[in-house]
Amino acid sequence: MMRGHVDTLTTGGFAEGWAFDSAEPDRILTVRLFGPEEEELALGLAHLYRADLAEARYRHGWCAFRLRLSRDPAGLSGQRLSLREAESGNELHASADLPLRERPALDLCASVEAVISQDPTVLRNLQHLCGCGDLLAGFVARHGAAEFVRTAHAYVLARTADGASQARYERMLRGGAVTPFGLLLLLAETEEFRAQPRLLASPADPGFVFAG
Amino acid sequence: MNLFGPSLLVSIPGSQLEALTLPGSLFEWRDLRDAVLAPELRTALNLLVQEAVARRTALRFVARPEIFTHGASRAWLDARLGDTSDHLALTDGHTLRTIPGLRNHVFFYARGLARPEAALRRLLGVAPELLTGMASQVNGALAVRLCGRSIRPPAVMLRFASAPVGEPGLRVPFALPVRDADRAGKACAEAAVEAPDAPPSGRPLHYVPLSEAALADDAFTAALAGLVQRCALANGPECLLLGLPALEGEDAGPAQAIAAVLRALAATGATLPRARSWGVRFATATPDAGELAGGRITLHPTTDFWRFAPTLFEAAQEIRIAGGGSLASFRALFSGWLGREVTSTRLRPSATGCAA
Repeated sequence: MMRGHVDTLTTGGFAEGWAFDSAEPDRILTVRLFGPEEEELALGLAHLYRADLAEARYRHGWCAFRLRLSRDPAGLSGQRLSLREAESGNELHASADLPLRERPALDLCASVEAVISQDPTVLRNLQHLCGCGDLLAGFVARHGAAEFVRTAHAYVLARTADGASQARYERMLRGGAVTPFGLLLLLAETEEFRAQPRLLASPADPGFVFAG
Repeated sequence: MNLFGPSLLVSIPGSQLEALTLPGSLFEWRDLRDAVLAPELRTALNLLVQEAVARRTALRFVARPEIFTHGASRAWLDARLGDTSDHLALTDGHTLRTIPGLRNHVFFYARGLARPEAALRRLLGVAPELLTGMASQVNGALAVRLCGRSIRPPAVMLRFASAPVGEPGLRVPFALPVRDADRAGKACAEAAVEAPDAPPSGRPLHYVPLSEAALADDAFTAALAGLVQRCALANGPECLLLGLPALEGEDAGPAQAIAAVLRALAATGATLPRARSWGVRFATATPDAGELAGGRITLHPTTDFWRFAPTLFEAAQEIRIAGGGSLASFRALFSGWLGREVTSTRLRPSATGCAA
């Protein structure tokens, strides 16, 4: 079932909310926001991370959106706005009572760091995978603990696991001493990773290795 | 006894806290969920969290509950407890910490592991009064005698709603090619295959989940050795699936677990098959309920049965408890948990089969 919600409009000119399809949790929804005259106000992907969505287990926490509005949000106050899934046109949420929050527009992307910080396909903090427990457990169920350990090493450390680490982490995973996400955290806490942290693909990246 | 009110305070053994980075003395499940924990503790926590979510009970965890017995520290805790009136102590048998003024409950989650079992027996032998203050025990039948009275906190039954998602596990054919159990275990483990790739049994399955404590029960291992002998034959009555025991220690893998089983079986003096036999096979993970359709399950009374989903037991045609000691309390507990009567067989050291 597709679900979605527009939480707020911001003074910076954005509509913020979330949307996902519980029947296809791996699918990233494209959403459109329509105004009272059926005019399209915004279009974009619901693929940003939000901690509260991870807590609520909505698409692993990666289903928030922040859509740039084509009109001044102040002028939309009190008007009925409709959020729809772009492909099917299904209405996910409609409201004439959206709050307008004081929130500036995005920072200008004046540096590589700034660009990366606003790129949803790049993970800025491994903790942002905390809602991916089911996704990672599904990977283990499909491919086995050994393959997960290999993939986790490639994902976090960009190398194959040495024999001892492979065996040790396999045992821990099979025995239940650590969760699949906990194993990723263990690898990210190693001196090797901390000395040279890498940019990791997020679940919003089509190349996210643990996706179903 | 209603353990699951609006909120529940939970404590875990202090030994598990050493490696954790916690935000404070009171913490949330998310601070614990992905940390490295003893596997048995993780299973118990998963069960508890699942039940709490279903009953909309807010869980909070307290580190080192022994600090909060009185004085300023207790006042600090009381100021943060809100409507919490129950404390569940998850214990590994080494310690059992209660919090005065709260209704205390206990969950001994490490049944089947030799050292925790022994530690709990020792603890309750030295301080039996610990159980008198317990309002209930989760999935347990702990009892002590104190001043001529038998004290057994009432049991609270918790069950997994569904089988946990995990890899299908490995299947390993039985063999004892050499006398040295460690070498034999290693040799066996090399023949492991993914569960779906194992040869079909062609006979009803008889699943026996093993534990360290079960392997220390002479009567049980003698009976099991007899069963291994019969099932290893080409025309054996059933296919024996031995669930490998959880062993304490991070380095315990399938080879070590198989070695522990072989060592216990060899100690019975029974002649065991030297050649590989798929009539008897080891399993590193719980089988699917579908595999057990029409089959049997034999449980030793030290089995932490609650880690299995009830669907596993529903699939089996027959469930039996077998062991060398008293089975009455375990049978009553397990029957209550399962919701139907289960037969039991008290084994003598001379017994020759679990089906005896």
